Amino acid sequence: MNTRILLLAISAAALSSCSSVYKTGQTPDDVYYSPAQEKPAYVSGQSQDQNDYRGNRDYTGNNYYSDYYLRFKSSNYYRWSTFDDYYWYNWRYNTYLYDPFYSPVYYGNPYMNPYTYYNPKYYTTSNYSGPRMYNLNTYDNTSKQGTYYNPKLGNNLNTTSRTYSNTTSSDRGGFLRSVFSGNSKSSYYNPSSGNNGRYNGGTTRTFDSGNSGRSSSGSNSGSSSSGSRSSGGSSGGSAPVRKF
Amino acid sequence: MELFTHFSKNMTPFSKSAIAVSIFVLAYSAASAQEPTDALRYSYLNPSGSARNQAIGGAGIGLGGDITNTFLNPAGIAMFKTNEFVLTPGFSFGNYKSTYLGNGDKDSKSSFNFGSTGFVFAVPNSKGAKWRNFSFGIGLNKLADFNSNIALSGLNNQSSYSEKYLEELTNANVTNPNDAANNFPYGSSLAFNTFLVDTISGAGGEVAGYRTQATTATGLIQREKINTKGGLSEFGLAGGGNLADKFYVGFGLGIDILNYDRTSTYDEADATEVLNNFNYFTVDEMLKTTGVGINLKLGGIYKPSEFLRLGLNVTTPTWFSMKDEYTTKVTTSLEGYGGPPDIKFQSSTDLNNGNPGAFEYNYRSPWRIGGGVAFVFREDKDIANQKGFVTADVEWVDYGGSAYHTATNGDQSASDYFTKLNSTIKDQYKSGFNFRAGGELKFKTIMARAGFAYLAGPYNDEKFKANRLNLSGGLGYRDKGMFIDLTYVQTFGKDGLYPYRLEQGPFSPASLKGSRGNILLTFGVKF
Repeated sequence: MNTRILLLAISAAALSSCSSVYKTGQTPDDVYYSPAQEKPAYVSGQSQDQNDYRGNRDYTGNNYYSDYYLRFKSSNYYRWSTFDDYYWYNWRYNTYLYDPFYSPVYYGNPYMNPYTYYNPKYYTTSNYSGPRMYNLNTYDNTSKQGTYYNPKLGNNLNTTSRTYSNTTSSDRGGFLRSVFSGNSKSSYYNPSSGNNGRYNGGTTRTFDSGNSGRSSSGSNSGSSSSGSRSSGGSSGGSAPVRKF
Repeated sequence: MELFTHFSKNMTPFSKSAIAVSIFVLAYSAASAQEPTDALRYSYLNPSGSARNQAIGGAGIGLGGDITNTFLNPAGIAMFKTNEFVLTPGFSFGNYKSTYLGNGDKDSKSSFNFGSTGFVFAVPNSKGAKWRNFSFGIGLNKLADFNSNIALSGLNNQSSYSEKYLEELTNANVTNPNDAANNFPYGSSLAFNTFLVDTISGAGGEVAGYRTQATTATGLIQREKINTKGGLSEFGLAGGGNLADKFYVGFGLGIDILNYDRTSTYDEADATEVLNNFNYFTVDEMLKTTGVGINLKLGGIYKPSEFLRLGLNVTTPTWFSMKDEYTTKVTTSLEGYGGPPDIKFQSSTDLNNGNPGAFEYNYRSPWRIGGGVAFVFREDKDIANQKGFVTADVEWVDYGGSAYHTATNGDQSASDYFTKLNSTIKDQYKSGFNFRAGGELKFKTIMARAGFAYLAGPYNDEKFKANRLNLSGGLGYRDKGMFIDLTYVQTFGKDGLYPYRLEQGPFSPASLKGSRGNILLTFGVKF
């Protein structure tokens, strides 16, 4: 946002500083017709004063000092010599000031300045370096993309109006259930009726190594529990890497 | 819980699906993995430019004479024999509808942006010379705005997000559980160490397979929230020559700056209150992509008669150098399964010395070739005789031609992955035509404009029926050496989003319909 504001401010300043030469007369519309600007007189041989409406005739390169300036200076040297500084320090006249190879501002060039700062972000080491790999085989699974939902078969289980709440519960699952069901989950979900469930019975889906087909659940290494979930506080902690 | 706090208060009563979307970006990817939709994000681009250009649908290949030609057809810059400065701020706001598993909802989104901003300089040639003038454009243009919020939810009794972890492990033939715990730091290892995914023991105690604790058969509440920020901006330089006011040729250079930030939270919870070793799990993902790219533009405009203009332009692919930084975190609550604590979490940074994953690579966007025609009434110096114009463009874009490449030659696995990714991009996306047309009526200093743009869908799979339609109109004032143009663009778009994809199980997209308004105001000074 700050960048945008800065951009707008700079642009507005540039816009307001532009002095149009078309304040009187018709403003050209280049889509239809763009009026030609004639080449400056010192090339075409015409009078420079007549052609250079931008008023930059006194620093076109051929005239280091303008004719006016030289005429004035010859008439009163001390009075008009004060403008020498103007010419010396004006980048239009003194190439030293803006030549990147000579200008003292070159120290901003990281190739030239031994004290160039570095962005630590680019020096962050990372053990893992690789593309974010995705299972691209899923794009071959065209037969099952979005094919299981059939609104005529009752998947649209709940049309009850619900209210959003900003709960402080630490049980995210309970919160999601409360959002979906209101007070009672059983009011919207009954696995034995109204569902077009393709998989019936099993509580978990399993995969065999080396055999990607689905199978019924088997034993597992974690402890299990049964019963009814009750709301209440819960503890959390970072999980260590499991070792076998 | 902050998961729901970002919805607007004027949402319709909640149904199983609640999606707030922005159509700034087509084809949202569901995960932070590098997949084909990443490529589409940087190539399916809405027309962009000055307010005048946007009011006529973004058409301008054959017309010329607008700073937008710096980014569109550089030959149009050669029509300038005067100088100008242009500033184009903008503001966007949208109402979006979506459908997921048969349920619909809507939400809104607004943001600031900008159109073509910069300078045009003309250098006249000697009187009588064949090349009448040479002109140059320099400026900035926003090609894409990635700011969006998406939230979706639904009840699913067909599949679980966690099955993708099972597929990852079985596809890799992981029989050593220590490998499962360590070798997949952005996916299966996090699920395995938090016990969302566990082993199936064979008769001899060996690992016979893997299972998920997610209780799909009795119903899963699935919900995802995706926030994206950033944009794609182009710094453009263009130069053109005017040959006898008959032929105009131009050459352009575009330097694209990409900044894309994406954070997502995916939740999946048991729909029942039964203790069954599964309460919920959450996957938090972060992705930051930055990049700089370069492209070239070549164009020409020919005036066979006073009223008629014909244009042609070619934009090369943009060659990007990109960098990704990404993290993933899995949190589970399994009702005691796996032992205490009740809520377990692990981040990819835990498996990567505290660092995010990082990867540098190259990306190439598709070619763009366009043609345009314009009828201008009339090309007269006196603005009282300038009555208006109509113009139209057609542009061909080969979306399937996007490609990723490794930045270095050393990583064979990355190279192999990109080879397959590029093949998938080619299979998933097709080439398409974009149409843009519009016109202007001019009443000396006041102008009225209207136009439209149609972007055909990039998908080979017709299920999404994705496309985008822009209707636009505007007014302009030009006098006293300055001009002001005001434009309104209304965008209607269709797209889709897969919360997750599976290799074997069923999965379903959310279809998205977006309607967005965009106001652009161009200030300009002739000098």
